[in-house]
Amino acid sequence: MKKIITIVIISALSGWAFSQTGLGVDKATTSQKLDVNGWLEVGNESAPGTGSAGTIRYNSSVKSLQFHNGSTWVNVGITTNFTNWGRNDCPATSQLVYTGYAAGGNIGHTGSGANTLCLTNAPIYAAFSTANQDGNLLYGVEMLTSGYGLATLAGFHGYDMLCAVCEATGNEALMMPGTTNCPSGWIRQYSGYVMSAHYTQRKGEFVCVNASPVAYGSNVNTGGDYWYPTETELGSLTAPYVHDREVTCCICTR
Amino acid sequence: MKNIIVIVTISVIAGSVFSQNLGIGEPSPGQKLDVLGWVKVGNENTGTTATTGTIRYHSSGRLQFYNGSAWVSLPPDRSTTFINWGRNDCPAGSSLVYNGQAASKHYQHNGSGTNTLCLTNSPNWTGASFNDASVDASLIYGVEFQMSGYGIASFGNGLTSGQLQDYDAECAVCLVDGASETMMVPGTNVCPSGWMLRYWGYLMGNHYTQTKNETVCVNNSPLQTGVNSDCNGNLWYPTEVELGVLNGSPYFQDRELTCAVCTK
Repeated sequence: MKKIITIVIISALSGWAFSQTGLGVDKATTSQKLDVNGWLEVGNESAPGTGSAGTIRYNSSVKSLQFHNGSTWVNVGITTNFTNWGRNDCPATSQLVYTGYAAGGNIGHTGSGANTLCLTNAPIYAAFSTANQDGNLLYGVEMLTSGYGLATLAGFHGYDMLCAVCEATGNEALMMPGTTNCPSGWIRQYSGYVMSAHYTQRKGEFVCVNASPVAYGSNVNTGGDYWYPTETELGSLTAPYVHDREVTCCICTR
Repeated sequence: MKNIIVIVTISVIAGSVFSQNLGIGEPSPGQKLDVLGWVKVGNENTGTTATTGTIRYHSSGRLQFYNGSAWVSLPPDRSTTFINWGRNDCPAGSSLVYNGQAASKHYQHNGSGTNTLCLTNSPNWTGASFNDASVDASLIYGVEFQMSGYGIASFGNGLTSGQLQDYDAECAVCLVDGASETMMVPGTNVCPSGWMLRYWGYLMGNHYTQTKNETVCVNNSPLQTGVNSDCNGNLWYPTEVELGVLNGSPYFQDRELTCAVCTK
């Protein structure tokens, strides 16, 4: 008993160091430095700590075991990605890959791409000419949300749309239109609203914009691509949808 | 040596709380537990309840960690999803994530989105803002089959094009375990070697005189269980090949194109 007390004092001063063959937990004979006859629990602390190569932790935000490779924390296993439209950061349940600006065709043009890009804010060019050739053109996106049904987004009217590409653990990322809840067994990354071009303007893409976007740039309409909340039109679409009600959405990973 | 044995015994009996860093073969531990060597965890789980962050070795030959609700294997189990356009169920070998109504822009509108969504049959607006007044900006409509007189006399489930005419198209999002990729191959109803066919069907999209939308692969046994409304929101027509820029053989002018949805 006296010996134990002595050791605890040493521990407080300099930490424990077992230099013997190995430490067995509930195990008399060890085959490794640490040999646990059962399971091992590692911390749930997700705050960025100082990891060195080989450190293992459990990150409760991204719900994954992680190891440190000497420069960063790496999720074990498979990862998938999704775009967080409207924000330049990622939900706590994912990690940032890059941030950028939402970009698409111009509201007054019938051509150019109908899809939407998350243009990186760290561009690198290859061959180019600074002269204007006016072929395929790409514009930034503005949110047109005042007077279009979503009171909570009215204050974002005219601001520019940011985006972030985010990585989450899992096999896949699913955009589920019509609901703010993910199916059982899936992790909800964010919920929001389906937005796209005005029905009288250019062809666009239905995307899921975060319900809490970031107001970026100026709120002056400068042209380019405009996104509006989307209303369901009943007829071919039927109940339980509601005529003229704005469509929700969520991004789910699994 | 004797000291250590005493401590381990106490740990087993009552548990010990080490508030300092513990080094095993490591005189200057940089973490709470710092092992200069390898760590071995066991497979023993009798009478033990897993908590978040627990690591074990499972007899299936994989390391596993517990995420608070399930054991996750390393490497993780693979899965992928696809959309079964035209039906509200999933082919054998896949499981239903949700089903819904196929939806896209109006067939005459220049704007809104060109892509096709599978709008869930269980919508909700929890925590969301909305206004049921019409503001007519971005609009989304259901999709109807426009099959009569467009080249496909009957489908795999015996429905004729006339029977399917004007019915609303359904959709189902389906999950496949043990695969990691989904690929739609237009122009054939079989999958490349090594890929598994989930369903085959016909490429469909808007009429060439209408406004642009997306060409999707619609199941060759479409269901007639949607509403027969003839509301003309978005419209699906079979797709014919036009030769010219597309070369001749093996394609045939004006023949309807098949498609295959494959996973691997």
